[in-house]
Amino acid sequence: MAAVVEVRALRIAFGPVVAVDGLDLTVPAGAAVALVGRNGAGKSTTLRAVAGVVPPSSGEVLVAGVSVAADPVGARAKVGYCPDVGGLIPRATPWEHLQLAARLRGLADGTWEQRAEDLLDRFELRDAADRVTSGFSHGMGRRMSVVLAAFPEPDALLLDEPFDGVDPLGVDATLSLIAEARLRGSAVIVSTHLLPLAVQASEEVLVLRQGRVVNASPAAEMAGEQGAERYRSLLS
Amino acid sequence: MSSSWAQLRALVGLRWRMVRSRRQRVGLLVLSLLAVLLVVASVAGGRLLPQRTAFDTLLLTPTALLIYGGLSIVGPLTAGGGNELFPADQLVPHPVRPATMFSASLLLAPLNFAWVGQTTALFALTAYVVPSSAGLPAAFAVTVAYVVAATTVGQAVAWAVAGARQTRAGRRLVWTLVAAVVAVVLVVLRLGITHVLDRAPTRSVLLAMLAGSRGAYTRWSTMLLALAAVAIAGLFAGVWSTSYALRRPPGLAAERVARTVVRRSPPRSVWHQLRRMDRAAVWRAPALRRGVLVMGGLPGLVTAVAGVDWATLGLAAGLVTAGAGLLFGVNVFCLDGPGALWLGSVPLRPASHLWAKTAAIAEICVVSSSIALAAGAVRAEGSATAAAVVAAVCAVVSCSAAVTATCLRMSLKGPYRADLRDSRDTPAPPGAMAVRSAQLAVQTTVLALVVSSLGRTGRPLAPILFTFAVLALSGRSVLKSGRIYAQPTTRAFVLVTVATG
Repeated sequence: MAAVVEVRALRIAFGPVVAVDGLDLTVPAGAAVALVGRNGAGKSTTLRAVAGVVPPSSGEVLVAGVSVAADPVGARAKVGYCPDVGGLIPRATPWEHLQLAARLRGLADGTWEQRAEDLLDRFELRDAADRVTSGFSHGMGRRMSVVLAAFPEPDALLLDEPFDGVDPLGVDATLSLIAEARLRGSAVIVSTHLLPLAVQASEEVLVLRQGRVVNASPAAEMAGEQGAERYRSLLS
Repeated sequence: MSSSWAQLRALVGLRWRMVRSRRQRVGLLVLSLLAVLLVVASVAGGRLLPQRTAFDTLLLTPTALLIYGGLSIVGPLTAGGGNELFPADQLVPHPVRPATMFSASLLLAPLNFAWVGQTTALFALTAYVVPSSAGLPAAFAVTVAYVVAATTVGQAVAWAVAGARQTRAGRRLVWTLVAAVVAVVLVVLRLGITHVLDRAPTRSVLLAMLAGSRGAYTRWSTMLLALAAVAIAGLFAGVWSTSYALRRPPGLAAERVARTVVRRSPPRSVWHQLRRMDRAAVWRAPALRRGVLVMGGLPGLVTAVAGVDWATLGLAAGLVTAGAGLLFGVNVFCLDGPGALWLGSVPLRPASHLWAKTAAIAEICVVSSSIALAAGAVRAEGSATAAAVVAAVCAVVSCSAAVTATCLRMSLKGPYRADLRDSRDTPAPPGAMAVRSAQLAVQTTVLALVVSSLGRTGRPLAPILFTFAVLALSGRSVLKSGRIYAQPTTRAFVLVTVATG
């Protein structure tokens, strides 16, 4: 299967602080990879680099064959990203976010509205479609961020802490969305602190520590008590 | 729980340590020094001026003191309530006393450029009307006591109003009071009952100043005691009103933040959608909505009531652009808030993003200053010659262009996270706001003065040519900002900072 996301020797430093230190990652079409690790391990920074928000200090990031450094706008057109914090323009409504996303991707009027409505329905946000998002609860904001990431049916779906503070129905909706994206041929990367959900959402789990991958295992091996024990041992 | 004084010291210390930029720390220190120098210069100026109009000025001093007292109340109200060292939601986990919050409000009052200007003017006036230099210290003691009392009462009222406005009834009451005060002022000004002003209570303040300067200390010390009593009463009232405002449930404010809006038809283009969202970000934020109304309406009302000449009108309109830039322009990307991270991941060209923000700043500057200009023009003194009108319009255009370019550069160099949820929220922390407001005020004052001077030549071409030069320089600066923002590291720095702090 062709690789959709290719990260080679990625290094991101903020002054003296090295957030990501020589990370390699390949996610083929239809595959899902979970990034887990302690706070500050470099999970969110890696996703920000793949999403084209933060430029790499060195190394290369390709999304669907497009270099994020050489053609940032082209690469971003292939990505759907749910950031770890916020992710919503505070005084815009969900529908206004979706209108902007549709315009930016050149979707003609009449072609995207139904999908947008369906997504809002699945995440139980239809009634809040015209509400200003600064009044949203944390969980509603997370769910809306996932909707925005999935809306353009991207080649690479990047979800950073999509389950954080989300109720069980929202978690189910997110898991089914990930499964659908994989079936469609998207590469999915999920970053989370919740190992059981990482195992459910992906087929491979990467453990990050100090900006590096210290372990890559099939998701099944990280399941249950044994997986949790192994995960803990990899953190320190 | 530690004392209010200890809490205040801790909060001020933290705020100071949070000023990470060395340049900004230096800027704040320079600004403090300049404020002191300004007061000294104004006092010296007051003494050195020929005393030809000293008696007339003396008669107007009670009115000036009354206006100062009024502005001490109106100023914090236009900012949405008492000043805050930290937004209330950031202090939620800490047991901060209302007395600490109110003391912080008082401490922040001098960081306001308008407050510094008014206070400096009051000191200059005192120096001018007091007959002998030997009597100045005693007169200044009264002025200082008056400034402290007025500022304390102003902040106390502002906190009370901020609390009252959390309910519909409170909001109606506040608007009724505002309408009543405006009506009284208009009646006093229109009917010429200026003798009412001559009997203003501030007359006693002036008499105490003069008595002290002559060595008649009974009246002087009584007034000092009275003003001290007002200040202490204001302090207690302020602690109570702060406590009241902080105890109020978010009520109406929260209701407004969470409201549903009418869905509009799809925009024609990305540009139109970005503009629509930026306008919504301004209009749906309580602090910005109030700021737009105040910036557009208040200076217009004042210039219309005062009936200023065309040169002053141009100067006032120019200064309005500085105020408009301070609403959000000095940190324009904060309009995207936490959504900046998402915007950073969508296929949006940096240039398109930056142009939309440029348009947002320019629009607010032009609209606010044009309203002020149009309102003032209705009752402007003197004949509306072509040169005078052109100069006033040129002041609006050149100041708007310069403020837009400067704000854009400030936004790229020093972005901040600012949620702008509360009616008192500002786009940047107090220190940064003080430095940036001083920069914009100086810039617009100089530009408007030059344009007004050129207008006095009687030839409309001179201000027009000058404005074209300012437009060219501002345009060049905006283009440079575009190149800066196109750099991935700068863009990441700006977006990540406004989204996550």
